[in-house]
Amino acid sequence: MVSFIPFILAAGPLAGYFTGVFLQEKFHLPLWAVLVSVGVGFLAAITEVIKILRVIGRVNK
Amino acid sequence: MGESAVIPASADILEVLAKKFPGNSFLKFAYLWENITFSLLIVLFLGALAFFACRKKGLLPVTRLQAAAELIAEGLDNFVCGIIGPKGRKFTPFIGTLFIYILFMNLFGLIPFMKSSTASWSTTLALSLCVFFYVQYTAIKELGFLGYLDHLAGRPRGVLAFTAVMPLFMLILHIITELIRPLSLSLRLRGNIWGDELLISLLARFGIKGLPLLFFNMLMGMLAGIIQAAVFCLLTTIYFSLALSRDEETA
Repeated sequence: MVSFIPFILAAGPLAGYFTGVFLQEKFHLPLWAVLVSVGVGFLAAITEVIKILRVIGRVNK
Repeated sequence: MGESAVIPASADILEVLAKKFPGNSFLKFAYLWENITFSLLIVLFLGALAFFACRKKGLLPVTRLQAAAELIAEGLDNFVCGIIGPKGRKFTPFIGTLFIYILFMNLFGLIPFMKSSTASWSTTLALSLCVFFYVQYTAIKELGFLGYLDHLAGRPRGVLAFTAVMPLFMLILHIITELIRPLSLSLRLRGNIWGDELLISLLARFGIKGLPLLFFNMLMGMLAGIIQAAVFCLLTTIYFSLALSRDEETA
């Protein structure tokens, strides 16, 4: 049932990369902006996993 | 290179027929769009099943099929309302349909000469995008457009409302979080079902010796098909729950 966790953790940096590339091309940002975006993506993935586990925990109570 | 490194999936009925009758344009078309063809087959099958289950409507179930359909519908309603609450009842048809549709697509691939449409990323991505847009629509309807933007910016209040960095960071973080959902939903379902199909097609090449392993893996494939459909619906329900709960803030 928890097979979603690794996929979310992998999808986070991926989504961050795509967002970073989009922002870089749109606003002519330097390359490090993509790296920052990948980091933000990983952070977003962690918060997403915590949010989901929090709801599951609430339901299990 | 002697042998290809890529393991080919076992042939399905459309592939066999298209190769048998190369001049038939209908078969060629059906084979070209095989994922959609198999999805349509499931839709037709489920449509017929629903028609026969609801044919003789009554306060008490008349047929066994109707009793089974009512049991499944009640179970799905309890599942959705158990997570979202009474407000979640309006999402039961959507989530229930997704569950039954994905379950049948997952299990269809275990029948010889058939194919799971969910083993293709295009199908799972389409399903995930349906969920994504419906969740966005629900969130905007619930919070209002400006309220939704406020939520995406992390509800900046007090001193934070006058700074641009924190709300902007939260906005990007939330947008990426929203983008993660369709990606992870679709990749997880596709990866699991595709892996199962590949393993079965590999074991089918072992002949008689591989039969026990093949049957064991078919059993595991059935289990995986049910679990993956359930996980897809569980995550969809949680996304709706997060969109509806106003006080749910970032973790």
